[in-house]
Amino acid sequence: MPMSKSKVTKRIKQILFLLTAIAFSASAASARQSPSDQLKQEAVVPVAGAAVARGENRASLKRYKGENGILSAKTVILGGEFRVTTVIPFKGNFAEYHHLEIAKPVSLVGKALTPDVASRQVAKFKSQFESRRLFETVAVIDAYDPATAIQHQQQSSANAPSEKSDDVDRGEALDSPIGSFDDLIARDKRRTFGEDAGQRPAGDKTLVVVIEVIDYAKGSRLKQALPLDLGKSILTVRMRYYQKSTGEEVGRQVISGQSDGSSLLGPLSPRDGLSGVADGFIDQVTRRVAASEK
Amino acid sequence: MVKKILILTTALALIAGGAGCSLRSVATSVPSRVFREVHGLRVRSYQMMPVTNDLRQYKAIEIHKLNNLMLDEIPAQSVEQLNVGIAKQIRALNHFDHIAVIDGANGSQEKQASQPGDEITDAVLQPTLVLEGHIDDFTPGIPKLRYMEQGNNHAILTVRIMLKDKQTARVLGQMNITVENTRITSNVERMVGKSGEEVARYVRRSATRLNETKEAYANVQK
Repeated sequence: MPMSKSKVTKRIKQILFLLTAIAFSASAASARQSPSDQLKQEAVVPVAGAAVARGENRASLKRYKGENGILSAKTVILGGEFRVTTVIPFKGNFAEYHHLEIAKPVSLVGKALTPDVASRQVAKFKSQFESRRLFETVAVIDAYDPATAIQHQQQSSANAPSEKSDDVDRGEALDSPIGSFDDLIARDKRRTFGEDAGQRPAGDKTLVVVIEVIDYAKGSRLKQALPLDLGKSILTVRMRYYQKSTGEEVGRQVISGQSDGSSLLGPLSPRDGLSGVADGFIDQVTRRVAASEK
Repeated sequence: MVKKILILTTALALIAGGAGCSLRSVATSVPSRVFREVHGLRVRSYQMMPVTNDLRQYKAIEIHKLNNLMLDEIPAQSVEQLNVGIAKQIRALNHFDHIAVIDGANGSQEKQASQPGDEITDAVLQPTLVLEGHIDDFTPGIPKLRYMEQGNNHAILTVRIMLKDKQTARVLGQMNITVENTRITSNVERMVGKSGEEVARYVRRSATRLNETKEAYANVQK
């Protein structure tokens, strides 16, 4: 049935409206640095040390193929490419790690990295790991000092196991005398490390990731729109991977992400430097876990 | 009829989009390429700890070799070029009477006294500035991708520099300096050389100008 001219015009207007709506939704997603969004993101970050996600599903890892962050269809269309420089290759069997703790980013760029931005970064890493269900628990911690763990490891290896457990039992018995403040701190430490070293089975380790931000530029989408190669969004981090109980560094990488508006979507692309780093980080850990699982 | 119009509209939109993208890439790549060749060797620096003291009293400096946190990922000759470059640039400042280069690995003093006839003991007695630092990041980049203007292709070198007082070991100032090279015609050596220049510039700024230190102090006060 032939349609009238006005109806055809109406249809075309509807299509144009839809296209405009899609474009606006993309730009709205890209405007992540708005204060209200930051507040929402902050609300997602739990109290340090508290684990939120439980549940692990590594069945799909057998088919996992790593991402090419430097040049791929995704980065050509959306931007947000990343590079990974492995300084210390991963050591050990990553299939044994079922818990992940991400320390809040340490700024090596002074005040350029505000606490809000750091919280947003760690929240993004956490949420992406949770959605991938690579670990049983994913938690955000304030900081991690490997030296303390190494010291504890040396102390515990120096003490005989039976003697140590006797001491702990004696110290924590109900009829034991009230100890000094130092005793209380030592007891707390024993409990903390006991959760990982003693009570968990041998194949149930915790991976701790310490993040150091070594380069950060928020970028400007307005400048990206100019054909002058300006306004790049850049984030470069050094990831140090530790086995929590021993304090051993099991890997070190530098991951850098950037978005400069040169993708097909241009400055409207929702991806930025953080998106690239998050992709690179999750991809590297997933690759290693997948290889260990195989 | 409606279907035909819809198909036609979609086809036209796709063609227009594709042509637009091609036109955009041609139209926009020329200015950005030219701009990049002019301003492609860029420096980003972040003040980690502002210099708050008057460092003009320091007439001696100990330059320690940078601690390489990138291990084998940075070529040995680039590390050497950077360390030598920093020492050379600081000597060229003509601000310090005594300049010593210390090898970080064994603590040995490679060279002492920039001016002939100076005594080692003189350098020890007077206030001495210590320049230490770390190589935080390095990548040579992918020049072929720079021609195509695709991907994460640039070269980069990040160093973290610390100025200390030798006697008290107190940190007087700290700076993170990143040099990025996106030029097609430039190379890694030029980038490493630029890093050395930037480190020397930071030392000069910190050790010679009082007004900037006052400004930094004012910023801290706020």
